[in-house]
Amino acid sequence: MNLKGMKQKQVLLISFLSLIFFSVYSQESNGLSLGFEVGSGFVTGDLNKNWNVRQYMGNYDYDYSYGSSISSDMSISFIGIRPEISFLQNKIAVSSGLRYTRINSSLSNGSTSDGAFFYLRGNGNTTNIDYYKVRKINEDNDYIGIPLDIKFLPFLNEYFDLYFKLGAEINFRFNTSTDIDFLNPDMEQFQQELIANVKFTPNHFYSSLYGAIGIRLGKKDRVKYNLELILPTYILTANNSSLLTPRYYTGFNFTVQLPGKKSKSQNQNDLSGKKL
Amino acid sequence: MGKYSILKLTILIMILSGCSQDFNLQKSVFINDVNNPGLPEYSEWGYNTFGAYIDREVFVSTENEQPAKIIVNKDTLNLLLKGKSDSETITLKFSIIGNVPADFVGLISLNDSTIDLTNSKCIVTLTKKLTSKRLTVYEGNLFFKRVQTLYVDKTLTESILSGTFNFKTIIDGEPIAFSNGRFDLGIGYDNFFKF
Repeated sequence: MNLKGMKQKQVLLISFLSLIFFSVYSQESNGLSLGFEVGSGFVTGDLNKNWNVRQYMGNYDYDYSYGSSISSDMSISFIGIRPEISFLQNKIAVSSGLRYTRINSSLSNGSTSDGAFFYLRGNGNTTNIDYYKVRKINEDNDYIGIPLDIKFLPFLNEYFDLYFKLGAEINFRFNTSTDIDFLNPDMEQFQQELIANVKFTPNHFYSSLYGAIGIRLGKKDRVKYNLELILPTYILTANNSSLLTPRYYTGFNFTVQLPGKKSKSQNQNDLSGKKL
Repeated sequence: MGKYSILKLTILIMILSGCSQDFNLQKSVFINDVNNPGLPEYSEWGYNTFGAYIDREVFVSTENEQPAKIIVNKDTLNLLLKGKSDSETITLKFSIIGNVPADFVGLISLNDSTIDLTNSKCIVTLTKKLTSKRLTVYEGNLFFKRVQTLYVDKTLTESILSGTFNFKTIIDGEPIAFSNGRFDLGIGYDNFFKF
């Protein structure tokens, strides 16, 4: 399938899901709300061997001021829009929607010094070999996906709720970008060659199972603010980065939740309740 | 002129002569071989390490000593491996007669070559406690599995010699085996000498 065809399908999928979402939201029901979420997490993982990186500059535990090790980082950040529907006197809530996720991974020298670098090996041949001094390799993988969560709110209060959440998500990768930051800018011309040497395509799918504990602030039928701590989350899919193999991640999620519209009959019930 | 002054003069000459061999590449990277404890893994990255078992003792490069030098004189190439075994500094020298590279780039001629250590054109010398002994080798070879010329950011930097060695000899009347020998050495301006 060519890139254009894939993008068309992605646009169609997004449009279809958006249509479902807005048609549901436009219906007037009491238990429905609309959330806008933003979140981030730090991933623990292991260094991949896809890139020909020369190992630590000295692993006899040298204590040089410029550092002597390779540092790898991976993070996940996301934004999303999601409707939520509540049941059983708002003690259980189910939400889904659309989420954009970026998985960022990078490799750099462990030192914070400006001149810190590591060696990346080029293709070369049997008897000639090229090393490039590299400050950092950065890779971004962008996904669009659908989360599905269930919240348990056992202790409901007027302004403050504590809840537990379980969820799963499946995401489809639509973009990957890799950048090599060379110490010598003249080596930029070899960037594509070095990236092409890495015989690795990140997984088209990213999926995880997660749990969270959170607090919800806000009065009933008003705007609510949810702050969640994402518990160590197991990543179900493999090969989501050429630089690192993720194992699990933890992070936070903040959601602003707008209340849904009430039906006329519900409004009347509320009013009659107040009169009583 | 004292030793300190000679050192300062040497450093000054190196700077003035534009020597730019990468300091980071001169350092040793020791990755332990889980199958042969105490020895470095076999590698071809120019990690500047070597190791072998002398019977059951480990003979291995250290972090402070220059692990290898190539000294070329007249008609002989000498490969010196300097390390420690049982806390003692030991130098193992392979002298290969008839191989005279002009510079470290010329070491490429050793690529994929095996030197029979029992051959009269190869001399093995062991130096321990400032005493050198020529070893009589009964069995064994030195294999230069891969020799590579390294360019860093497209600048010629060094040659990387990677290979293995094994041999049996007699020291002080006792048969001794040097086994599982391996080396991964960067040879450049600072450790290639031709006289």
